[in-house]
Amino acid sequence: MPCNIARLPAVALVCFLLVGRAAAGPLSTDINALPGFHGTQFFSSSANGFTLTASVDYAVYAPGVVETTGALGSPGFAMDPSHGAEYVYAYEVFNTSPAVGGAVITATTVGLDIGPIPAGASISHDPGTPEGGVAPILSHFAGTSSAAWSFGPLAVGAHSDILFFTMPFPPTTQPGGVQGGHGTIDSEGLPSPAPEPGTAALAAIAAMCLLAATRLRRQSGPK
Amino acid sequence: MNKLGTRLLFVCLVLCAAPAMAGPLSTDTTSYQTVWHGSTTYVGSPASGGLAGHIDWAVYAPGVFPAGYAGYVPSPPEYLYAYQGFETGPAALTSVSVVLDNFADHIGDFTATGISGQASISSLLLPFDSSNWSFNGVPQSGSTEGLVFFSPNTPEMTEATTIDHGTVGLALPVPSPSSTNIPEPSTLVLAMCGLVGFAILRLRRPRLR
Repeated sequence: MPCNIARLPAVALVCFLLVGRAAAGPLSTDINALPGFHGTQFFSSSANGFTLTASVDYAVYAPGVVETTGALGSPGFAMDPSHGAEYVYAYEVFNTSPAVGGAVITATTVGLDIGPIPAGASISHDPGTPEGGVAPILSHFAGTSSAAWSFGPLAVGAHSDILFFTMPFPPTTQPGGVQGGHGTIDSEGLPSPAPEPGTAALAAIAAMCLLAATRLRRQSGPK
Repeated sequence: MNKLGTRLLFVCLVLCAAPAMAGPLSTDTTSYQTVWHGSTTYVGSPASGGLAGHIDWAVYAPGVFPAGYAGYVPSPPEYLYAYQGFETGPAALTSVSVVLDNFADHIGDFTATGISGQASISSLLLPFDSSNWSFNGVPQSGSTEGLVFFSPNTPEMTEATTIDHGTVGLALPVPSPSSTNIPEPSTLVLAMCGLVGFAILRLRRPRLR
């Protein structure tokens, strides 16, 4: 049966592609998301003889868009408590760790650098996630520096519900963390809100004032 | 003041500040064998995220508790594994996870004399995997409450992980249950009965000539 042996690589390739397809959610390829802010980030870690591999699909939606995007099924207002007033940052975590020696996932977080959490911002998960998913046991803003979801846990081979938060700010990239069992951890870049434009403008004004004060001091110095 | 004087003053200040930042767990000599206590630092990766601090820890022999302990008291004799997180960086601490290679139970929080702080909003013990505590975000200069679980097994050193501002930190080493078990009193009684029974049988057996 030499023919079967020759086919093995092809079969492996097909299996790999099928697994890859199964591990992908709707977020990474959603054309309704902001350009440059949808895709997949990969995480990996090894500790104490265990391996954690995970992929996080993400998409950021401009205000009002997520309620109408067909790729997410019928998320409606469940996915957007701001009712179209804010950007929606969405993530879906896939635990792709090996079946033997793979680690569960206990927490996923996204770093925030926006100062105090705005009053209208909210964080949750979508129970209507296409193909279902594991709901987090906690969704919360941790202090002012993170959006965090805890799982109880997310088993090997499982994927989460779509996790999301709303913010009035457009995206940039910040570190995002995945914490797993057996001491496994990894941090990689994920979309996160950019600092408020007002803050940036204030900083620019302060810098200009400092520059002007320095010039004035030089001009009025000893002659 | 000359440069040398300034440097000496700085060193003195650092030395004075270090014990002040440590909690009671790290120096508690009532811990198991008087040596199972200490403090382990963690720094987030990437370090620019600002996650940094230390985890104080102590292990107590069965029936021994930290001074002023208020928390779950186990019925069987079990070792008490206690931890307290201190965040010194600008990133709020969201989660602490201690590796569990062996049996542990009854995860929770506690307070004791000099041990207080932010209580966990969720605690999850995954048997033979990890013990996990989640927080609303322990701010800079803040600390967690005492974090605790129990085990019939004596301690060994392993590691803990911390997370936030999207960064992750490793605390190495911290104590965790080993595979060495304390024999239960009933086990000891059974063993004694077996030995006595064996001795009686030997005495009653007729001697062969």
